[in-house]
Amino acid sequence: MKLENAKIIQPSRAIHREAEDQRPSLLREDTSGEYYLIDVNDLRPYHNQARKFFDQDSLQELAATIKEHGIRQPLTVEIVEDEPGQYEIISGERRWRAAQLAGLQKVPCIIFKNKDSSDAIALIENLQREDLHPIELGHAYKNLLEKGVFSSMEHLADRLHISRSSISECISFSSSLPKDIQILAMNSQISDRQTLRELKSLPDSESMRTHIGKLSKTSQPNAPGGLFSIKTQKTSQVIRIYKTGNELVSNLRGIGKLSSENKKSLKEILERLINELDKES
Amino acid sequence: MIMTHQDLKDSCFSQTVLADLGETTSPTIARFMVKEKLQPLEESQSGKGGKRVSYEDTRKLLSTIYASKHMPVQRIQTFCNFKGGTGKTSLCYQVGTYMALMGYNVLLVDLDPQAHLTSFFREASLRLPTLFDVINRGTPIRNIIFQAAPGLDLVPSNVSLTKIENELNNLIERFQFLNDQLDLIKDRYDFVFIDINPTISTLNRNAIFASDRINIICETQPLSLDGLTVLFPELKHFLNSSPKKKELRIIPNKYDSSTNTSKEVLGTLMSDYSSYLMNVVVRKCEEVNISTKVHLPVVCFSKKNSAAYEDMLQLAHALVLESCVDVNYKEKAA
Repeated sequence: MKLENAKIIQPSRAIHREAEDQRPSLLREDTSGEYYLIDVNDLRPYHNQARKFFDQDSLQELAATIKEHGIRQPLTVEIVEDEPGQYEIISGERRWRAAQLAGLQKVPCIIFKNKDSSDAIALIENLQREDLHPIELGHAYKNLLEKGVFSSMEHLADRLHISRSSISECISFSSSLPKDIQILAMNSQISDRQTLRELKSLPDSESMRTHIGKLSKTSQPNAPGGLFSIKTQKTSQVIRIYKTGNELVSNLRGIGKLSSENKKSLKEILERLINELDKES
Repeated sequence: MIMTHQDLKDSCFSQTVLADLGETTSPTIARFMVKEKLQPLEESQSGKGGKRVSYEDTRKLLSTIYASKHMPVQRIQTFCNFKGGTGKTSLCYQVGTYMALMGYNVLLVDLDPQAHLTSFFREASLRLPTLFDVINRGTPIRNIIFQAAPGLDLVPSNVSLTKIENELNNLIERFQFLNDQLDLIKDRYDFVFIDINPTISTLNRNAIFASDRINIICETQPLSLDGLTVLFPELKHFLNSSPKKKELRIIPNKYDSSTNTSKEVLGTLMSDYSSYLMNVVVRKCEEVNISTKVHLPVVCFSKKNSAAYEDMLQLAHALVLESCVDVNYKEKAA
């Protein structure tokens, strides 16, 4: 019979349940849109977490937002092998910490299946949202390369849409700077690459510490984010003399770039230095 | 009047029934019979009063009058719902046989291991090779097709189909198997009607993947509506991400105007899914059950004033309307 001829009763209330958005996708293979509410105690930070430094003020702010609006973006988590019911957070550690500050018991999580890309995803997600410190980036890149998730720096650069030299530089920050200096630099919020390059050029931890100390003194107390006083003048290395083991090594290449004025100043500095040395011996 | 067991291909039909099938009048039928030089069966042959037309002549006639005017576009169709017992198999069978009578070449595909569609065809029920043999032993699909009647073929099922899920999941492209198999044979057919069981399985996803049109059969009862509520958003999303365009339609079935539950569910369907509903409501009717028992479509035995007779015709024609494009037909000069 035709639809219009059929007798019907208009439903006064919904007699069927609304399909929830967060139900696991039955027909599709991809996991987009499918998330579960997982107890905060069943989650742990990712063993390779790129973000090693969490700003407490920023976390409190996030906690306040979460208290008011809840968590908008589900975390991405991975099942811990041999520990059913336990999950590692691939992306969203900040949200997890902030949620706990806010007093939340459960957080929405997307359970990710593909183990191999979880590192890449963690990194890419972090990159896309906030600025990671170059040192943190360096560690993460190195890890991805060592694990073989990406076959080369070119591959990684291509995948993350950044330059190879940028990757190479971050890796050098994370490997050639001493561990204590790395931590100090991150805590002092020194994240501009120029400064990091300067630090790298210094011979030892002592001088690096001094350099950081000097920079911190001149920094403005209310500088935004992690950056402190932006250098307006270009600095470049003139000469380098350092000690490795018991030998002195010198790098005098910078002299060629000097103007005759500069060369005169340099000669004066060196003469003073020689006088000092003569006095001591 | 219920007749003794016979096969569809041995059935015969009155000219008024032909007129109903072809959406035309009795005189037109008579005229065409003369034109096509078709002889009605004598009373002794048909065993009934009045002149009747054989199955094959019916097809021939209606092919000219009806099928040639409506060219199928949504050729591969799946009958589905998440809830069992809604009448998928029944309607799939009715639609399939009606289309064959109207002059189309039809392939029925039974993907339900319970093989109820197959059970409509007496000989097909004898453990023939199935799609499982196609995937497991490499039997060519053309070798497993059962010819039920002229213009009506069947890809049969039996319990061996329960093993196909494993085989499918080992394939690289596990949702494309049926599509690829149908590609080999679909040129022979105007329509392919697929009957699936009410689960979400790899086999059923094969059916949906291969289809141009999905007919969701919704019994006008609350549990069936629940099944629809679960299935519908999933299907929509799945279809949106599919490269081949697929039509999604709901057919209300087993409607009973004497019960409030039926009327309420139909009301809900009309308010919540109005753009997906076909303009046909198939009423609950005992003759559909008789159909299952005698293994013949309703049109073969039903009284003309029964709800089933009316509704099945209406459903078949509505499906043609939606699945086909009209072809301008010029009558050849006599």
